[in-house]
Amino acid sequence: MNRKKIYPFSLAVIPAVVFIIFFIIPSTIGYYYAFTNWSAARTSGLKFVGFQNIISVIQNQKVPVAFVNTLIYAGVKTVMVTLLGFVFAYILNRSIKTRTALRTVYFIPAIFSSLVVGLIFSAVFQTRHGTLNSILGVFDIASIQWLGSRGTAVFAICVAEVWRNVGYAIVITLAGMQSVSSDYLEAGKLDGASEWQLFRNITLPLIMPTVNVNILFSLIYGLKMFDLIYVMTGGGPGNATESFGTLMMNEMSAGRYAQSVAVNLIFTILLVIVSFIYQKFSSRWETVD
Amino acid sequence: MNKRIKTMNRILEVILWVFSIVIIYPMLMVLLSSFKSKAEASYLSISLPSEWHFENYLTVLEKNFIQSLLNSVFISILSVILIVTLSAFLGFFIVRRDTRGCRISYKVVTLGIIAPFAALPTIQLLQQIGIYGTRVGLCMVYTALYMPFTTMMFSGFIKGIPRELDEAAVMDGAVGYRLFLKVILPLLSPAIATTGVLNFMWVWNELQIPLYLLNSSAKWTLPLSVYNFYGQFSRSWNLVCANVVLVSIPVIIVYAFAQKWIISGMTAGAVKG
Repeated sequence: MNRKKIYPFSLAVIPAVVFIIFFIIPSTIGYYYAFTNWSAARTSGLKFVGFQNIISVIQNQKVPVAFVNTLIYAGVKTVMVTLLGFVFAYILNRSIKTRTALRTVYFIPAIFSSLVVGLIFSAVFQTRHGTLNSILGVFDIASIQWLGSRGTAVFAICVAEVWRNVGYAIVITLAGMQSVSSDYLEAGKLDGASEWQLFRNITLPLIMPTVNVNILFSLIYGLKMFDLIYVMTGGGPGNATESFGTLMMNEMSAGRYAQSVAVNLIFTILLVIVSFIYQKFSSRWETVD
Repeated sequence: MNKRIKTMNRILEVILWVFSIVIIYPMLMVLLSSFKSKAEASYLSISLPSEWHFENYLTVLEKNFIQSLLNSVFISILSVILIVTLSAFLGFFIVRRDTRGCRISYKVVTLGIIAPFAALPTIQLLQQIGIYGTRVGLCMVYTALYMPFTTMMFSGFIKGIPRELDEAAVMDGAVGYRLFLKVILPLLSPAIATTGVLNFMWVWNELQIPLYLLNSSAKWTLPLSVYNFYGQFSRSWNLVCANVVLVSIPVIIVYAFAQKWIISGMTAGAVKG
């Protein structure tokens, strides 16, 4: 019997239809709206306006700011989460007495939603009586308006995002480390390898594929960050802390529908490019290893 | 040598516990603030409440909380059933049929993990179909958006099931749906549990998508109601903290019971890619 009979297309019809209608169509021909004069005031009789919206969101600095911020959020998050996750996982993989308790504590933030984490850190970074300013006050450091200017607000958002995500990285890296057979390490020890040599030449190469996937997901979700920023600053002050995600939302709330879709389109193209570049590099790393 | 490692581990242990203050302090602050009066909670510290105000929780519960909870339960359960079922079928078909077309569609599906949510085009589409602002409409969008990752996970699991099993079943006359439901599906139960729990947590916590797709407060999910509550009561940290605690309880319960599946799902996803 051939595969067509054993695995008939009818198996995939419903999933394919749902995926095409609710994902493919809006994500492709739906972007047509980026090239129209659609707005809250004009919802019918739309006209084709070419690249006007795309040019306007780039020229009025909204997209450039969101672009830089998005890269900062995703970059800082990916680097910090991967590094911290690595260090903590390495320590928690040693024979430490209370390591089960420690693992639980370090993983807890990961189970909260970004909304909840955003609210917690709105309290931490609040100017008046905020948790961090109160602690700094003990050391006689004057209150800082954390969410009031671009630099400190971006920093605060990054802190919150890293706080929430280190737990994931620890769990995944730790699982990778535990899958390294102890035979290799024993053999290395017998040959007189130091701890650093064991780590560099056995553990690290074997967990690299795990770490790679970890980095990719960190990057993708970092680029897509929305909840935390929306809760903590709403993209403000002005548009200073906007990411692509919040810019889309704020443009829509302001009634500039076509501009919102234009931002959405630019964002999609950016994400596709990033993931292609990443896949090129990571497959090169794997062949080297 | 051995003793040196032991001392080293001891030191690292102490460092980790000291560092864990960064994690515990903000959580403790929220928990304690949720029992304080408005004035006392505005200090956002970890002092014990001078008076325990349990009624903060009642105030939150009265504000649309139960309705939103029910909406969240309905939306999450329906979405998870759709996501898991459809992804299992799709993964099975793509992996086993294994034609060139299948491999291309798999690439397209995984592109869905990367692509961002096309917010306004989706709203426009739902309006044209006539299900904009409905809970079912939201569930359909969730299904399409979360299917890629789940399909990827199922494909990994299905690749691990030997083809000989299919062939034996075909000998016994089971093809198509029967083959899948009777032979393959029972073997996928760990994958179903894992993807089910993970998707439940993601859908439950989602804020951005319902913010776009639900317009009336009667249909709000929990995160939406919490967000709007914060907008309304941002000066009353005692109430906001109580709300944060309440909204986190279901997730903590799910996590406590399904920890095993969550961890195995995350690591399987990462290890298999």
